[in-house]
Amino acid sequence: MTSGFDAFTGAAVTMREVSVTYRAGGGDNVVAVERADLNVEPGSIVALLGPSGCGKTSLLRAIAGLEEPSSGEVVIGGRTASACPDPASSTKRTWVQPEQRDVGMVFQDGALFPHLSVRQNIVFGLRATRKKFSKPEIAARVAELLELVDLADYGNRMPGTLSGGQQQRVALARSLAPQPKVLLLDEPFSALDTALRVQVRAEVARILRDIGVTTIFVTHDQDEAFVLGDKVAVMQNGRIEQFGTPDELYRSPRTPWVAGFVGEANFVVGTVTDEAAAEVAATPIGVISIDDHRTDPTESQVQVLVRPEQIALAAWSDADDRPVGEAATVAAVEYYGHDVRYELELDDGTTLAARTHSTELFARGDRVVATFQRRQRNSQSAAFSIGRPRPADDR
Amino acid sequence: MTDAALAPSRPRPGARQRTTTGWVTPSRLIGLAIGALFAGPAAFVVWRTIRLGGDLGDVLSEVPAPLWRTIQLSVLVSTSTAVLGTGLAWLTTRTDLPGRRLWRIALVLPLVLPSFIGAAAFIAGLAPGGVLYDALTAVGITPPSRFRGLGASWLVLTAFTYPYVYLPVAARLLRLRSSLEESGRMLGLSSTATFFKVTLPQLRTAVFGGALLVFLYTLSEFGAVQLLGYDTLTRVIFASRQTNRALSFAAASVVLVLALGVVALERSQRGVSRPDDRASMLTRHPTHLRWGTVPALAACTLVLSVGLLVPVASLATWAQRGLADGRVGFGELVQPAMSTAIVAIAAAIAATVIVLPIALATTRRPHRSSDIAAVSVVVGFAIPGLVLALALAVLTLNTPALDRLYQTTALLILAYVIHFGSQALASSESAARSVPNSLRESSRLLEPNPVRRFLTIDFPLMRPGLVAGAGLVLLSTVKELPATLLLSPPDFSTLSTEIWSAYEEGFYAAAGLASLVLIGVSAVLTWVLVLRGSDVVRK
Amino acid sequence: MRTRGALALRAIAIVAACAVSASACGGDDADVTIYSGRTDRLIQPILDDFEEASGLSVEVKYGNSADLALLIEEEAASGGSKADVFLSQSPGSIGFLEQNDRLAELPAATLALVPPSVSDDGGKWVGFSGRQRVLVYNTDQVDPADLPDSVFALTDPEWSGRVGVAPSNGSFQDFVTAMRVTEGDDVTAEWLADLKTNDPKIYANNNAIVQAVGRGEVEVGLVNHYYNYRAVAEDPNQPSANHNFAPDDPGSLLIVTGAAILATDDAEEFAAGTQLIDFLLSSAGQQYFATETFEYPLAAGEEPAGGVPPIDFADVGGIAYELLGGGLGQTRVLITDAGFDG
Repeated sequence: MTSGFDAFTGAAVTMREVSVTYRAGGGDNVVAVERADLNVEPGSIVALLGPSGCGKTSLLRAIAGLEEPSSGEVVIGGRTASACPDPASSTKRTWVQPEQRDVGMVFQDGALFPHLSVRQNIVFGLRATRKKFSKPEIAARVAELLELVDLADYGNRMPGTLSGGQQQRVALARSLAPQPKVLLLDEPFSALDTALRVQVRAEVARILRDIGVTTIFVTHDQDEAFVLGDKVAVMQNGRIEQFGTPDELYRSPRTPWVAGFVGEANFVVGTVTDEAAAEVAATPIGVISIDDHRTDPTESQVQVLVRPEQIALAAWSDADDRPVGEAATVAAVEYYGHDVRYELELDDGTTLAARTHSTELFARGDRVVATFQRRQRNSQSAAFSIGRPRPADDR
Repeated sequence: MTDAALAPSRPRPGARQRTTTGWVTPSRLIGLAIGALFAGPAAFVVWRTIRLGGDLGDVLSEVPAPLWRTIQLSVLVSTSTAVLGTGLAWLTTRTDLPGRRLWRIALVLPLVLPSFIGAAAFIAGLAPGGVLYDALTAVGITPPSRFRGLGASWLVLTAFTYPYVYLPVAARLLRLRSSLEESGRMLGLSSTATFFKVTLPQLRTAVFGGALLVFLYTLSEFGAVQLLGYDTLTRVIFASRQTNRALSFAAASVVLVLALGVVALERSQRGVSRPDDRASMLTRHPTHLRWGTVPALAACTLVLSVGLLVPVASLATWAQRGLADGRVGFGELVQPAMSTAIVAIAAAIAATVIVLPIALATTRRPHRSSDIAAVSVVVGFAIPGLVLALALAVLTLNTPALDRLYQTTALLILAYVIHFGSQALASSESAARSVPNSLRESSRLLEPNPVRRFLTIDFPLMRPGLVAGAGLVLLSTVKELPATLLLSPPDFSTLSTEIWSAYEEGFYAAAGLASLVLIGVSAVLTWVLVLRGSDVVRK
Repeated sequence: MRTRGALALRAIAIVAACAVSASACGGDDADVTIYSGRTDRLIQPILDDFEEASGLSVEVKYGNSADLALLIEEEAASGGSKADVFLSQSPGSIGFLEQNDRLAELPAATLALVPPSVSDDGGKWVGFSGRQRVLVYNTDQVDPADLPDSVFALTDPEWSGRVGVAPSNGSFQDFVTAMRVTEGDDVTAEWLADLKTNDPKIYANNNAIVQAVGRGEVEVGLVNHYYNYRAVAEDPNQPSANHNFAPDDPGSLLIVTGAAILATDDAEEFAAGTQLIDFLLSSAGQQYFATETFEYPLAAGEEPAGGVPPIDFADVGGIAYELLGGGLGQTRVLITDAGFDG
């Protein structure tokens, strides 16, 4: 399957202090991306994740050369694609045109040329590149690409006759045809319906890993970012909040906002105390070993990130041997089969979400005890200053 | 992974819907009836040609040479307007041309000039003592002493009719989704190559539609080419209409056949245009002209000069002489101006309403009957005004039921509708296409009454396109002359007939003043109806 | 904003509908309906005077003489023309209607108001103003002494490239028809051919020629006499003037503006039409044509305006004007055969 793509190695992409601004309708300057730093290793798949309007698409387009950064540097495969130095310094502006960056891009709407057939669409990129291909080479490559995306018999069809998923696959084949060093995908699966989306993205992931091209894709879907991406950059309001592996983001988010965005999060208020080896916080649901992210080290109160699966539930009993923890009433039950999610209402009115594999099922209205239960030895929970914004605060 | 089991999410564009009610449906009948209305005059011409018999030798000797000249001119003008209109549209929507928002308005304005008076004024401007003559000699260029023939006609008609291409292409460029062109760039094409290989194919429908209108207009045009001394088929119709009526009708039939052929050809070649409702990101990234800025500005100025500035300046000189002497005044133009406005507005509304069923039929339930109806609407534009008016006069005179209509403003308005309905059709079709399928389908479930549904859902969404189409009909009606002269009731005059009667007898000051008033009225109407609400100005 | 626009649209629609419906009933309530090939600036004032003087109401449809004649023909063929009186700038159009038997015979009293040479022998039409063919020339470029007395001289080599003509224009065609009548088809055809080879400049109509002469674009041109007077009235500095050919030369043809009454059974209509024509031939009417439009009054005893050289209608005689009407087809053939666009 990869015979024609042996020489296909991805390039590294580096962004330093890249800002993208543009003039909106009223004449105001809108800052889409603010001083972003990104380091993408060759052959890896990176997701740009964030809510709409966070600047992830602008960042992607800056790599493509479809947006011109107002400052900063974009380096692709060791070659500076764009550099916008300080006004103070004397170095000149560098700008490489999009068509010369050796970068492929798949757009949200597929963007297949409606007046050309599937085969002609794929060939389009081949003829246009600087690399010279002979006719038999082109035919072979087209056949290979169609095979790759499982549309071998669709060469003569017109794009208008294809379904959404098929169009996206042709778009992918077309962008891979000239063997770009970097592949950019702008919300490529958002136009597909859910069942299709899962299937298509699994296929796409397989193809991209087989080929080894450096891939950067934009999505607002956290599942997608985590499933496909080797590393994920979480963005908010034009800034990259955190860049790391899905696991790093999930377990050690740097801000409550990131914590809440990449997964469901409870924030439990606790008091910091120093114990022998590490810092801990005393919370109603137990003593938690924390990873200190306080902005002010002198504060004693923190909010500790507790994931739903880190809360264990036990039935409330009046006996003295009941587990240590916070009393709560079950407000809602969601049964997923493989696990159960409970919404708990604590006596002071706050809510907690808990997920358990437990064979013991609770019903609405049951009184339970919620206890912190860490999943791994020596793991720490992130603790933040109270008052730092969380995703829920955005609404 | 196979998608064979997964059906496409929506029907293929252009797919014919199977109806279960059989061939004859109310909408198809209405469409055919409207088509018959538009085809009536053309049918009359053919029938008269056959009835008058005539000498085939006559026809064979008199018709081929003018026919060839007509074809030459029409092809040349429609090609040059296609290129010019597209180029100007690109310049004013996709580059950083200085003052492009103003240019977008200004470049549409040559539409407001009636072609015969525009040509006369341009010739006067180019002659010794004229505005252009003085300007050229001041720069050191010797103006041509004879401005006539194919070259002159080509130049003048191109400058007056390119807006028919410019408007739809500019509107389309502004709504084109940018991802296609960006894909082209990412696949390695330079900006120029992207324009030709990716953008231009998307503009095909708009360009073809506009060029078709130009072709048909040139076919039926008479006043300007007569002044410029270029002998076309319309001159044969005109010159022999009294002395050799058989020849006159035969020539008219030839024009109609030619028009029919071209319209059918265009419909087969036009391609399918998909509505794009994503905002184009490309307006934020215009192509930088750099050294090309000055030539581009010069080109725009040149085009506008020939098409608008020089004629208006000449007309102003004419008028000014008369105003200074007190020989002419605005007072005598008030009544004609009001008559003009009333019939033009009525014609615009009537044309839009009458053409609407066909526009809806061709976009939503494509069928051969709606295509035929659409073709007959468009052919109406090619019938020379004189022939159309005569046909309607004869038809009403000889049909007892319609006798009452003869020489009423209602019949005149009908003539305008038949002649200019095609301009409302194109806008109405694109307006109909811009109503999303999903919206229509959900509204069907909520409102079972089709009329109410149309009024509350479709019509508000289609309104901008419908208004633009009505605006174009209005513009053309204001300028129309031959049909107005023939069909208007006694004691009825429009600005156009005033211009004609003054010009015929050499009263240039009066002709100039009336022309300026007409241009002023047209310019205001263009702004209010065609430009103000359209993308061309808003973006 | 949207409702305001919608309201405006509705208001306009209502106004338009009212206007249309009001005018949709094309009533034939005027006493005299005139179809005039003469434009309103050149005749409306005298028609308004007629309305005042006679108390009859007048409605006029203006247009091109030939088109109006066609319209009358179609109306008459389908049951009766809507027009009572037809005023034509060219005898050709009247001749067309006469050939199709659409005209009524005028009363002898009306016909007696003008010399017999300017009315129809069969009494179907009468001329009420005259226009003479002349040679207009540029006073800066041409010495009047060099100008010829006969139109035949214009085919001489010395006039090569210096003559402007409008072969598609009605008055030129009337002039050629008259030449055919007096000189015969062969001589006329030869003159046309010679003229064509003498590199003439072609224009759309008389106005264009006068303008061109005024600009110096062409030195002389064959036009009707009054155009120059009007051109000079618009622009006193225009260096152009008229030159008359010899009185018996075809080049000095007097073209009449004719009036005719459409054949009708309605005695009232006929009487009203006669009244109108009589008024046009009255002193008031004739002087209007003389002074306002610089044409020749044709009624006996009327003088042309100052500055316009008088002509003796007896000199002009000999041309049967009715022949001008019917002969137009053949004239066109001759013109196109010579290579002009007729």
